Amino acid sequence: MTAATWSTLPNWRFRLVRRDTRSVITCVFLGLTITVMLQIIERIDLALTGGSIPIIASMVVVAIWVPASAFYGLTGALITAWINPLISNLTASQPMAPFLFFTNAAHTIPIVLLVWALKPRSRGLRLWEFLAIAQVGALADAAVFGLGNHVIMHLPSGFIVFQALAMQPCALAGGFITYVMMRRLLKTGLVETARWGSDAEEPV
Amino acid sequence: MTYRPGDTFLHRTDPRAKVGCLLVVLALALTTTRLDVLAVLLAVVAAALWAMAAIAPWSYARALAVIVPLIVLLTLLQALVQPGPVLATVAGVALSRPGVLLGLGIGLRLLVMGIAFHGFSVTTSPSAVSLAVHKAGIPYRFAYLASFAFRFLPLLQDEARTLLTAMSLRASPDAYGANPVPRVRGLLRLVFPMLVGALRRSGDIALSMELRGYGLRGARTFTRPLRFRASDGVLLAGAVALVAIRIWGFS
Repeated sequence: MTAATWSTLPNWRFRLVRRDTRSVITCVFLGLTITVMLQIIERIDLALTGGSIPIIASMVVVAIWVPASAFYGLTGALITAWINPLISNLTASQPMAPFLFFTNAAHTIPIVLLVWALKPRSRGLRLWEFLAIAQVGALADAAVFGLGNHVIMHLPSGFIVFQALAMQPCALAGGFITYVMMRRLLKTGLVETARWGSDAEEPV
Repeated sequence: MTYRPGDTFLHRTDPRAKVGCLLVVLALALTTTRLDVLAVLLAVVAAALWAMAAIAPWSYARALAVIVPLIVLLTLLQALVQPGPVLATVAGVALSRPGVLLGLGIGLRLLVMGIAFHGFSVTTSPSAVSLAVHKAGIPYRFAYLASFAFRFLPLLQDEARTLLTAMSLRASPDAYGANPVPRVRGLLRLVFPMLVGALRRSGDIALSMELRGYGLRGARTFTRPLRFRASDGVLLAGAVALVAIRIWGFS
């Protein structure tokens, strides 16, 4: 990979709310992808940390939630975040599933808002912007996850702080992986790229 | 643990009433760690599922066993960090009595929540959930996604399995090995093809759904409309009575 790879993402067309059927269905598939991945990851996290700190999950969720939120706006953020708890609730596979609606949305919504605020129309995100956005999402997720662990599990605050801090380097590593993955995704032509520059009119 | 068709009272109950009951059980479980209250709640929920949905406790006992390691871990953790008189000393480590009781209380809470959700999932079809969500005011376009997701979940699971099998056929140690580190590497390799698959597939499916009227505006009609009946009201009233018993009987 050249130095240019690690500078700025190719541009794409960001819209805060997408209502077209293709976007909605894509977001459901992305939500299902993370659900399937988490079914495998939960076992690995259980083997590594007894399930107490989801280190691998916090790395892999970034790879799906960040592209979904950045490419599909609030629609992508909410659908991909809520498909996993929905499936978990309806299959009764996770006793904490009702709470995942809040933790997952706490991860994706800040990402959308930050992409909306930081991404110019004329270019994609710079590496540092991208990593900062992904990290804020991970921090917000860890904060709400910690709150849930405090309320439901009565875990001591020291443990919750340690848990949140342990998840951050994993999320950062996930951010680097996601950056490369988003770059490749934008080159596949499957994501709507910016067809209009900063000076041109938005097509009707 | 998924929907099983049937003709029991809970199968016929409006999903909105069942969601109401679930919320009551959640509220009751989350507002206490008292072992006696949670044990009574656990007994009531298990008995109600047996009586109203023919779901016997032994039918979900094995599935709930996966929570047991979590309960043991929580109890140990609480026993180590909570101050109070020592209940037992294991290998020189003192386990506090309040910590053990709190850990067991949280464990019972998780069991109650798990059983309640199991009852809901076994007696409520994903399409009924979609209808209930739509009746709650969410546009059908989004409410439908609940049953849509359930329909396509096996497809994505198959795809993940195929990719892992393809990796192991190429003699990659990352797919099914016992060492978690290469398995994580394998998982990360899985993400990109799955993302591309999701993006590629959605175009065709979106088009076929639109051709079947998915995006049409206007009021929709349903072949099996939801009706909130008197029996649903009675079930909800029973759940509210549980709250009253909790407030006045176990305060």
